[in-house]
Amino acid sequence: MIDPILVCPFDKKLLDKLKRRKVVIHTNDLNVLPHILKEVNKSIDLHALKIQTEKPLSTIVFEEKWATLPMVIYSTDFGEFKDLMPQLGKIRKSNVRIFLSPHREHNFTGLRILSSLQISCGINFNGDPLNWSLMNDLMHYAIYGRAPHAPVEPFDWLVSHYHPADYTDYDFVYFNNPAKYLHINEKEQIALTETDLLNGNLIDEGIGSLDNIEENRKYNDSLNFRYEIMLRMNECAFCSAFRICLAKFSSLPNKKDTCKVFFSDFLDAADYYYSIKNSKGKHLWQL
Amino acid sequence: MAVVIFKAVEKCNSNCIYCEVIKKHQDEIMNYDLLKLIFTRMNGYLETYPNESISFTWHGGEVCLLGPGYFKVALQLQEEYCRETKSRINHLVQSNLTLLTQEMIDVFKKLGIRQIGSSFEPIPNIRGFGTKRDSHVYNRKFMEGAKLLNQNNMNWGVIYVVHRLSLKMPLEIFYYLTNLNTRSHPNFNQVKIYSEDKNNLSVTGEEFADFLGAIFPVWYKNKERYPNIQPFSDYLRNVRDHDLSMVCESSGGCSHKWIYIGPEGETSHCGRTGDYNVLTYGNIKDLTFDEIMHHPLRDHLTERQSVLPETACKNCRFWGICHGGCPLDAYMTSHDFMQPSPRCDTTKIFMERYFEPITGLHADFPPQYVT
Repeated sequence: MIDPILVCPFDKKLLDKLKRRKVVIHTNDLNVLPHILKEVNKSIDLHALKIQTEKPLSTIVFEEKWATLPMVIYSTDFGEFKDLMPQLGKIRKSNVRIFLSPHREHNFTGLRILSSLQISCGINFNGDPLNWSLMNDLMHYAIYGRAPHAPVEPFDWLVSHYHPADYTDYDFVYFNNPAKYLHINEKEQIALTETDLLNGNLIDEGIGSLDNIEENRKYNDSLNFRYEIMLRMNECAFCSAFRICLAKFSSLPNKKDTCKVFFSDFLDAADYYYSIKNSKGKHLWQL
Repeated sequence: MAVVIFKAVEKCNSNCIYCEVIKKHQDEIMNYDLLKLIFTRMNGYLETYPNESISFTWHGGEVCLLGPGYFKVALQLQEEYCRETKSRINHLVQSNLTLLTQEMIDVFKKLGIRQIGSSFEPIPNIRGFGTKRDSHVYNRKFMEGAKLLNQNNMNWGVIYVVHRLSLKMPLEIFYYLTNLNTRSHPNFNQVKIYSEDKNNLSVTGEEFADFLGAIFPVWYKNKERYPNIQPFSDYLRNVRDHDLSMVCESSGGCSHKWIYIGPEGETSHCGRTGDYNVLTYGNIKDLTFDEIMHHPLRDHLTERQSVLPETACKNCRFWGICHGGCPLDAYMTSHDFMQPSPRCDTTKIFMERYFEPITGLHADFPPQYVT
């Protein structure tokens, strides 16, 4: 039986019904954290807490008591480093990964700073048009950078899960892969991704339907969606990097100068990392 | 190991443009009495040769036209007539996947089949149903079959037949096929057309070599990503590791290895000679496996391996990786088995123009080296 992790809002009624399931709770309100903490200690099997905020990262006041919460913070803006500095100790003690939006150039610098300070972080790589050159720079830093640094997602996740004989979907990092995560709202409407749920693109309704999710046609189609891409025979099906991008940017025009370049480099990096991981190490002769 | 290319059916639900089997218009399906005889014959052979095994390849036509019931009977016959030898019969299947069902897969599993060989073509209307070769419907059915195999944890791989229309897009085809199935990588074969080339699909040896040469640098740089692309992997193993074991047409050792059995029990040297009615050995109703495996006509092929090194292939430094090529190719173009295959152009051009400059390796396997 498939037992997906459910991504849901912080809604006590809903959570009461999800007691025997692992959940990712998402909220836009940092003020509800104390309540979530209380519930976690009582009854929730919490996989992660996803906090989405418009506030710049540097303005979020981290609290010592959050240290036990597995948190993911999505912020639109890195903010001012001088404001973040006093918080670094608390952030490092937290069980947190920080995602920044790709739509502000200085966030790319911010992510390098966070990573170099041993804070797990990542770019919120959600399929919107973005600056591919900056993405590529960040990917190179994350994978090839020799100076010690914390993982930068989705790069670290992809290279550490990549196998040449498989397709690798980095969307796991964003809780957006139906093989592991499904999204549910207060009305018990179920969708494959967060965006689908927001757009009313549902696969089923009612928590009970999760017990037979493997029989759900839309669910199964989503697991096999790559065959559909291959049938469409569009540019993505003929792209060298399909196995790691899985046609996420199929609607982009001019792929040759955008996603294709980035994902081909990313795939090279994944191969590089894979070969390092699987090499038995170089043994130099000794004097 | 003996390799049986077993064509209980030569009919096909597809109308692939380059297929030679469907041109035979053979509508017969092997009857169960004859099927029983095949298993009896295999048992006799395996009892005589206790160290031998048989690779039994269900080939067509399209084998799924036989239906699951046919395979269930085969399984039953094997249980009954090969009781002591069945562990030495290894079943394989070649199918276009478009008629695959769960019931079919269930019986394949009972026969010990864990992978299926297939073919695919991203260029429209080359493989497809009906006179117009409807590749849209064909491809959808193919994908459904592939999905089913994946759900059953069964492997599948494809052969890609390189024809004139492929020449425009070698890398696109390579990427498409490696995206289609990351677990199994394609085998590139040159289209073989010996009759009139009505659709202008044939390619020269040089064109095929250039097709391979367009892909080779990408493959060589990314060998770990695409580990087993043929013929590249074999060429590299040959030259880098001096491991000259090749398969089928390049092995130089096919003479006493293969048997084709057709729907009416007719036998021939291999699947391809069976398609063209060349090197026919008689009917399984009249001959034992042993008699077919040691048929005197096979000696021509053994002799070829000693004649060519003294004649056309003398001093050829690629002998060790080609062995004169496929005897059938030689026969179909010159009516003489004692000639090299015309495909040796491909080997020479590919090795000299692409393989050696890119890898920095040098192939030097003339007949005197190999012997």
